[in-house]
Amino acid sequence: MVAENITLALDSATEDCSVALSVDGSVSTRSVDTPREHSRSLLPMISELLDEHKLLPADVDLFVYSRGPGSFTGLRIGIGIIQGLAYGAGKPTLGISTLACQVQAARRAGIVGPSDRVYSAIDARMDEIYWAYFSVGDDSLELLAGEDVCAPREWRVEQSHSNRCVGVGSGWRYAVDFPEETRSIMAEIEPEIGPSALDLMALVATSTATEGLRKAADAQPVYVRENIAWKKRDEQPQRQT
Amino acid sequence: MLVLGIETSCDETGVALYDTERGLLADRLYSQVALHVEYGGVVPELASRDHIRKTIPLIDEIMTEAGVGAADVDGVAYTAGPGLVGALMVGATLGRALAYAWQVPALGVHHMEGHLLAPMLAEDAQLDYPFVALLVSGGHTQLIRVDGIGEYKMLGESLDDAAGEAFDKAAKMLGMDYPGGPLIAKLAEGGDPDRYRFPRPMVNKPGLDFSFSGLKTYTLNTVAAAREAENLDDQHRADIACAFELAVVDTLKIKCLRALKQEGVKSLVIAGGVSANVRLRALLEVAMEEIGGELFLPAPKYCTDNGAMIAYAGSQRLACGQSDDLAVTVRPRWPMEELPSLRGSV
Repeated sequence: MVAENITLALDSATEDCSVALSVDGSVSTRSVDTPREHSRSLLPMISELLDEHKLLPADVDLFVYSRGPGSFTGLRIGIGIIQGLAYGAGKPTLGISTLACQVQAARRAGIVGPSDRVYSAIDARMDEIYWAYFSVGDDSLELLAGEDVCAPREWRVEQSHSNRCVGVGSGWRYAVDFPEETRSIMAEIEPEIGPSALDLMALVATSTATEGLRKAADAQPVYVRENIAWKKRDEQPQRQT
Repeated sequence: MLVLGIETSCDETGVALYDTERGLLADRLYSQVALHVEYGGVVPELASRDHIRKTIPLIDEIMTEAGVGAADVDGVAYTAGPGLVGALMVGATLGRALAYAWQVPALGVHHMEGHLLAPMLAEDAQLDYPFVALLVSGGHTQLIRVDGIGEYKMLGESLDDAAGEAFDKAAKMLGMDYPGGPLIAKLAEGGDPDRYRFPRPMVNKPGLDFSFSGLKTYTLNTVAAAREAENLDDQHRADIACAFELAVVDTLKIKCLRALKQEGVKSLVIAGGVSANVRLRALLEVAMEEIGGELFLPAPKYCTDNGAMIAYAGSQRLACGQSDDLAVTVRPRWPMEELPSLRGSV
């Protein structure tokens, strides 16, 4: 049992959550689609996968997580678990963009292929979407614009006439509200495509180069939405006292 | 048994290592108060964002300071409630996963049980059951009879605002920041205790419940009248703060004594953020001496939220074999009476 490469990946950025374990390139997965049950589901699923291979958390070489954007609490549940596992095992972590992850999901589903341009969007609630777009290479993804957050009607994208354009992700449920010029260039729209741990696993090699490995404490969410709906005291309406 | 404790229920990140043989080995507290001051109160999303940045570095610091390695820790305890759900989730997921990685048991601890047992952190603690505990903080005002760990009988609680919340609101009325408790106490030091006498809510009614909303209104009206008369100067504000503080601590004292008498108990524990109030501590010291009873107070640093009390409470339960499975659950609301007793489990 030498030179085994064991990687554990986890996604809990949206309503579904999943984990994947790669042992020398052979990947097994578990997932649930119950919203609000992420904290109850993740560790039991991880332990099932490790038990199947007679492994312990300390045997894992790399802990991979969906770093966002996505549900704030969902991201922290996943990353809290990753931090605990990685710190306990003394192993590094790797964060991968949730928006890139669902492009990989579309590639795995055969919806997009090399030289396509993919417009990835996630429902950000509060009538907004998280978005980014990528050009798809043979085995890589190149970020062209984003990641950012905006109202659906404000999502104006750079157009491409030489590439096939595809829209993926839950943000496309708002497609009816997008500007006409954003909608009209799409050859295909797949709102049901979402992130998964299996797709994170496929991006480990390329993301290690772009994002770099981090120690447990530096595994952090990328929220994208920083201007949250609260106000500092001097911006609040004056109270009558 | 060496236990790592993690507290992230509100706006403080606390971690500690407690050993059932050797006592407290190390603890760290990171307070987010400065972060929330400019919003005039705790912003839950900001609290959660800070917890997930701070917890691992703090754990790393205490492990290094105590010279403890992963193989030395026998269990992990984290606050599972009550508190802010997103904030609780950070400590709970991280703590549970860490225990799994270390292959040791983990337990979600009740935050208020942590406070309740905080006086036990003193090396010379000679506290025996039964005792009456006053848990008094920004979120709670409760009188509890304690016959053992997990043997709690609620004697009385606040019907509206918690005492600490009343302090925060009174501070706001007097133009001060959050958290109000220490600021009111500081201002009250220079106040004339005889200028006003504020009502002691519900002391003339039987029973052990509290209510602070009437006192809040009374304070508001006093401040408004002073503003109307254009004499709300610094001295006047200090006098109002003093009258307010006296009314709160006197009410707490009266109810504590009533509870001790009703239960036929001589030991009183006060815990929670407001138990750091100097005037309350002094008043209860005297009162307990008068009735020949004994007062147990956590050291001031363990009155507010901290990881040490969670490590201690967790160690007592983990040592009796209690633990949680891998499904992480937090309970923003969690009645203390639902906690299991340890009797017979040793």
